[in-house]
Amino acid sequence: MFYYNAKYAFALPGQAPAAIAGGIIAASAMPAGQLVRRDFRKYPYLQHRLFDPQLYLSSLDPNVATKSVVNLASWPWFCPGAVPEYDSDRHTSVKNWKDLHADALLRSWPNCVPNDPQRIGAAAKAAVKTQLQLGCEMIILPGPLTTIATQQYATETTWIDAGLEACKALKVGIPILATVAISDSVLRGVDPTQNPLLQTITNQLSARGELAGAYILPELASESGYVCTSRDTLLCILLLIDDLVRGAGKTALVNYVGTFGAVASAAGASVWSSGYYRGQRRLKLADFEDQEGRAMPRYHSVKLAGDIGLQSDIESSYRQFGDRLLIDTKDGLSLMRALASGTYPPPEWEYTQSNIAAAGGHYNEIAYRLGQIASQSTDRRIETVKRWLEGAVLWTSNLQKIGITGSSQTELTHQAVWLNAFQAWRSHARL
Amino acid sequence: MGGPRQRRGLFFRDSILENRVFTQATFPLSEANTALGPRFQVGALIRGGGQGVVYRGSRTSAPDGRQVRDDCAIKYYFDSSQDERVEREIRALEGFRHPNLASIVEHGHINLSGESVRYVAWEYIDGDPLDAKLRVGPVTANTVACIGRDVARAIDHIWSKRIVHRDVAPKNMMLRRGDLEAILIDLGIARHLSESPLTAPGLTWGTYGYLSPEQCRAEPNLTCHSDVFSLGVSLQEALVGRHPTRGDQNILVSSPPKTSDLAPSSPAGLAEIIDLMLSLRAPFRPLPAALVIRFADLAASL
Repeated sequence: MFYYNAKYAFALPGQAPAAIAGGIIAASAMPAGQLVRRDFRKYPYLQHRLFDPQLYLSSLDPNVATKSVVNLASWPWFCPGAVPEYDSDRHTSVKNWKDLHADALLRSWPNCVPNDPQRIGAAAKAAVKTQLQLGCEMIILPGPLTTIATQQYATETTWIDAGLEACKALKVGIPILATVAISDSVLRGVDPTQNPLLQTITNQLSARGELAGAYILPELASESGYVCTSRDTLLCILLLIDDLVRGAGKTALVNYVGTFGAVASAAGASVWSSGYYRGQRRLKLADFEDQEGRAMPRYHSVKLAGDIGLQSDIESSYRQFGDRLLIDTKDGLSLMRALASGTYPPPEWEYTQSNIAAAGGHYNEIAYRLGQIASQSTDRRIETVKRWLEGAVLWTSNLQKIGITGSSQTELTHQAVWLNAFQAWRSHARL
Repeated sequence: MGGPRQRRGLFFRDSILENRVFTQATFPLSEANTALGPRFQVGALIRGGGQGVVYRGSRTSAPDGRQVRDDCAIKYYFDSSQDERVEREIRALEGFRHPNLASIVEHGHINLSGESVRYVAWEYIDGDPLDAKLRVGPVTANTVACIGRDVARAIDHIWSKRIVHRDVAPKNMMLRRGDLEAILIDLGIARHLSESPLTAPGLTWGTYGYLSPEQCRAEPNLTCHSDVFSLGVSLQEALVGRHPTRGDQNILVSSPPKTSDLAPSSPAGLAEIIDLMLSLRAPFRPLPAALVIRFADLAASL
């Protein structure tokens, strides 16, 4: 199933399907005082909501990631009691509250994950309590970012056990997930099938019967584009899922892997989450640094399993292949019609700053449709994804033949890597 | 003396400790008995090795003076270098009261020839060790299911405190009540006495022939999956009447034999669950809590 990565704005862009199965709200999206006052009833997809405490962002630099750090520091698992909570009577607006307390929040930012057992216990409890208050359907235990490739995984398990202890104390009756936030720097360059870190992670998680599963998110420190292009990283994700789901009978949720989530779903992930913006498709600490740039529209082709540049590549492709690379989403129809009638671009697909409503709605509809793969049988899912990726690889070659080269707008390099990782997983899992 | 040995490419530590003061042969028993004081009466030697020695004994009064009558297995530990960790672990185990685990009666230190020696008095389990039973021949499928049920229950209980036994083997399983009840003994302590991953990387603790793949890789943070693997090997041995690979650890962690091949007449359900316990990938092994249910059902039906 596809879940939408909710950021500050909960409203879905464009005409994205209302039937999107659920949403994951990030702690960095807004200050605590604001989120707890949001009315979730207005957004159908948020009736199935999860909240990511994002402890793995503890090392953000408050000097360059000011906005995100102020939001994160308002949550008690980062900076307990650093400033007074937002009070609408007293502060009248969140902006006023931020103006008043931003400096104090930045100063109190720990810049690292606490290691004192008492602080860990208190932080874990606060994160669990918040999720209960927000009415989440599952609890995501806070977990640090794994950046060191030792076999120990000791800090992470300390947090997991503190979270489980908190759940016990708070009598949590909903499924509990451990966060597996892992930097691709520790996954690249090691044969994933022999990676001792992966073995340790799945050993530790599967041994805890209290855990329903894991919330898996790779930090793409080494990527410059929107998608993961590392076979090792992708295969690691699939192997993690396989061990947890097929091996231990647990649940796996995957975030920040774009539409590779559909591949993860073939490997057994029950939920994958994404969204149109780069920050919804990938997790990279550097993305949290304050930037003034605004998003440009991108056309996502499901057949290509990637984006096609709107400035010229989409027209070149259309001239050669017609609408074979396009798909009739509600928001994408106007683009298809404009290409067919020679009136490209329609205003909602014009390549201008922030003109992303249609592109966003289109992306979400594709993600939603890909999310339906989860309802298929295992064999069928695997076959569907295999055909999809093989087709995507073929399309990269077709586009290259007509002179379209990979760029930041047109993604042509990752498809073969995705297929390779998928086939390697199948071979390892003997499926 | 006492260094790690290598057998078929696998480094392990088999009840051998470096820098120890005493050996079984040199252990001054009478001096130890005197040091323990009149509250204890120490009897025959139960077992001895490089790690320490275990004697049968009894306790007539508690440290606070209360009159008691406890049958004990008194263990003296030779190595004091890991004492702090042992102390921490003993505190965790002290509160354990579980029908399938030997519990701690009392612990402390005595001074022997100027050396501080730790002793732990365990509840004495009146029964037969499984390894002794197996010297005569295999046990029944029903007994195997009962051992599986009870030892899995014990593993589940200690794992709830995040403790891993690390030495689940027939020698540490006591059978009683007509072989329909099993008690796991010698829990937890041994690993902390011997394990020192910071100073001895690549070494592991356990009994050769029962080590899990994770133990063989000397992974520092083991889980209950490791004990489940060792239990699986022990159950196969109990069913067949001999070690499933005739003691070859490398075969166990590369291609463990199928139970149905070793014991073709064994009940299919029993063979199936034991084979799952021997999965090379830890997450594919059943959790101890699930094993308790499976083995209880089998024990009731066999």
